[in-house]
Amino acid sequence: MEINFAEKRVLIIDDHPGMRSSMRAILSGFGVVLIEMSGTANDGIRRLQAKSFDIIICDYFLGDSSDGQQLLEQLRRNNLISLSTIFIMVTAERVYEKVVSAVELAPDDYLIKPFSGEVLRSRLERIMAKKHAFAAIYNLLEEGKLAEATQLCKELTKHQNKYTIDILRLLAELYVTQGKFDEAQDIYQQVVALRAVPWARMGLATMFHYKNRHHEAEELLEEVIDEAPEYMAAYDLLSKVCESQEKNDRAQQVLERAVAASPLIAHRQKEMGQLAMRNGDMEAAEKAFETVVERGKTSFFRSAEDYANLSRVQMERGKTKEALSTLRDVRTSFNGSPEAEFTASVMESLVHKKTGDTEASAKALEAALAIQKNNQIAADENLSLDLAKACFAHGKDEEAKGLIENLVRNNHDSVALIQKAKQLFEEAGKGAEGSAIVDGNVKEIIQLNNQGVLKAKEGDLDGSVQLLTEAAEKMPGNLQIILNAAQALLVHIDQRGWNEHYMLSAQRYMDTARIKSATHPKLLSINKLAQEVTKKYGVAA
Amino acid sequence: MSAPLDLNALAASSIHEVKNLLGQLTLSLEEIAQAQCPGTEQKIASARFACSRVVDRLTEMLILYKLDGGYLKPSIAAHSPADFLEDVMLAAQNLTAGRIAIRIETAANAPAFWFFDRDLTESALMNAVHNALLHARSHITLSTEQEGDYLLFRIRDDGPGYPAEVLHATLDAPRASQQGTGLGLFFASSVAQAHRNKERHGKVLLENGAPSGALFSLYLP
Repeated sequence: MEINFAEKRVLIIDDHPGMRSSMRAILSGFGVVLIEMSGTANDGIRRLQAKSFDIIICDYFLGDSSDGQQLLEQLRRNNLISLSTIFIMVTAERVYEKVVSAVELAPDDYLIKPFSGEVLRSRLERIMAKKHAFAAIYNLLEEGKLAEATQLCKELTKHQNKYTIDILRLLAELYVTQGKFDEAQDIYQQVVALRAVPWARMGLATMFHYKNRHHEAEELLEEVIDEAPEYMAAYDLLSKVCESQEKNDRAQQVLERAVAASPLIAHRQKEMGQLAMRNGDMEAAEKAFETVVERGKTSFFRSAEDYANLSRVQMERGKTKEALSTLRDVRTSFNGSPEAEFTASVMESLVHKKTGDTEASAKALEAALAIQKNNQIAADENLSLDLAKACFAHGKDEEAKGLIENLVRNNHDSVALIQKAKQLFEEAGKGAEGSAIVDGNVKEIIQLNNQGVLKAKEGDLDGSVQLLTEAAEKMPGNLQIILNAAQALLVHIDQRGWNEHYMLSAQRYMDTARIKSATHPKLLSINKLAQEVTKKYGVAA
Repeated sequence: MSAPLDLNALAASSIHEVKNLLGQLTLSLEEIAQAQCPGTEQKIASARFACSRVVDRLTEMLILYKLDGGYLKPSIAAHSPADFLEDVMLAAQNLTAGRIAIRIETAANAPAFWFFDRDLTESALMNAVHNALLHARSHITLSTEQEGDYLLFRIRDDGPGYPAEVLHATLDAPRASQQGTGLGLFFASSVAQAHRNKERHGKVLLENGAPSGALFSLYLP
């Protein structure tokens, strides 16, 4: 496929100046005029945020701080590049070939150095032809039309061509996104039958995991790791599978192996820290969170939560000085953003309390509450609990109760959270009252849920929809409530006729639920219901 | 006391370094070629050929070094054999600058995709291409087809053909012989053997074509 290179914007990311200028010379030879160059991943990200590029040529080794694969994953996850952007990885070694065969997000192609200009041109033309063949699917995906994109993919798999395997892979991924695990599993099995390529086996293991077939997932993953110890994603999944079976020590050991092999991957270190903390291995947790924070300092993608995690474990270990220093860091590191200020204040309040400096602790708490009042702060569960803890410590019992009630109402079916909430009351010397409050809220939510379901059973579908959607708007984080609301809406459509507005609301609740927990069993059955209802009324499947 | 010198590791890292330097040299050659100075085309092509042969030999050395007594572990993925052959042709054309014509033949029964390690297979074929370019009179032919359960790549030249001792040699071990051909064929054979699919594994076949010329065949299961 002929490319009009004169109108293409190209970004070259390579830490080696000599390679950058050679690559630039080759591209100029093709007629490319719009070329920008970056020596680091972060500079590349900044350029990609400022404007869009058609072609990115990136070296796999980007010095000490990052590699091209991490960069690609960050770019795709943060939607900094579109599906039509060409991303080519360049590598000096065969190492990347192993990496790429197992990753979830692969580049469009990779080239092993040295290569001639002609080879680069031919690869670019070939990718362009492929993007052209996939263009209709990509367009649907970018418009959010998942079902239509899936249908089109299915059509395209009917005639075998050189893209068949790629289309099957995309189709499987689309099924996974929509929670259609059976369909995805079929495809992964189909590919594995042709050849046991790592990504298809990983996909299959993931489906087993989602469907709670942990034993099969474990066996398959052990096979994959045995044959190819370099497939890091297999360790991540195996660790999760072990934890699902409550083999917590084994889960940590598996993750430790992966962390040792590639210590620079921040998301794995974070998993490691959380897992170690759950396992009570504070030393390992501190080490992991320390690495996350350290990595974050040179990375574009980082969060105040990482600092909260580190300071929390430092405090647990009695290292209050270090904890305070971590919290000073979060302020400077995020230029005093409300989120960082809030995080720092909440944690400082607890640390000061621990060292006996009640005055400083009270001051920090006031600051935290003031920031929360004046800003939209999306605090994670742990930080909210910590804030409640600080409130109790300073006699602000009403605030503490309010915070905990809100958490409980949004997570009434989370055993771990309910336990933590009750424990907080216990520590504040209000065990009995706390249990009553927590249980009362849980009971109320359950009743509300039951009422909604009962109304539906009695045939009062309007009442059921009204009750549950109202509850869902009030508790948008409560998975059960929003799923029941979605179900009520779908049942209403099923029995009383098509209602576009109801369908959109149901889809919205399902999307929210999917983000929270893509594998919730109830989500799967509601998915099926939604499909059936759509089919019944002959709306685009 | 410092640790004893690990000569193997040292050799591997030196090969690496040399290979990277050659990579830069190749890119510099590209830049010189782009300047299109009259009369330099053939000279640049032979410089490229020399660079390419050195790089490929070093790549083989590195891969064989990593064998480490075990076997080669290919990274299997689906590729289009026709596209792949085009890449090999481009690499070959780059080395001859028109002195030798390079043809491609994709058989009607060639599959749309096949599972193989693209880079290992390319290294194996480039070896045969080097030999073919050295011995061909006017042209070489690259072809692909399906033969039974195997994907078959062939490289045929119109030169004098393989000498008898090469034709009858076993490819199971490297032979230190003329111009390193032995290592190259051993490497290609190792790559073929490393491709396994349901109890079947790949193989390399050397023949002399009729009326003349060397015929290199690589079978992948």
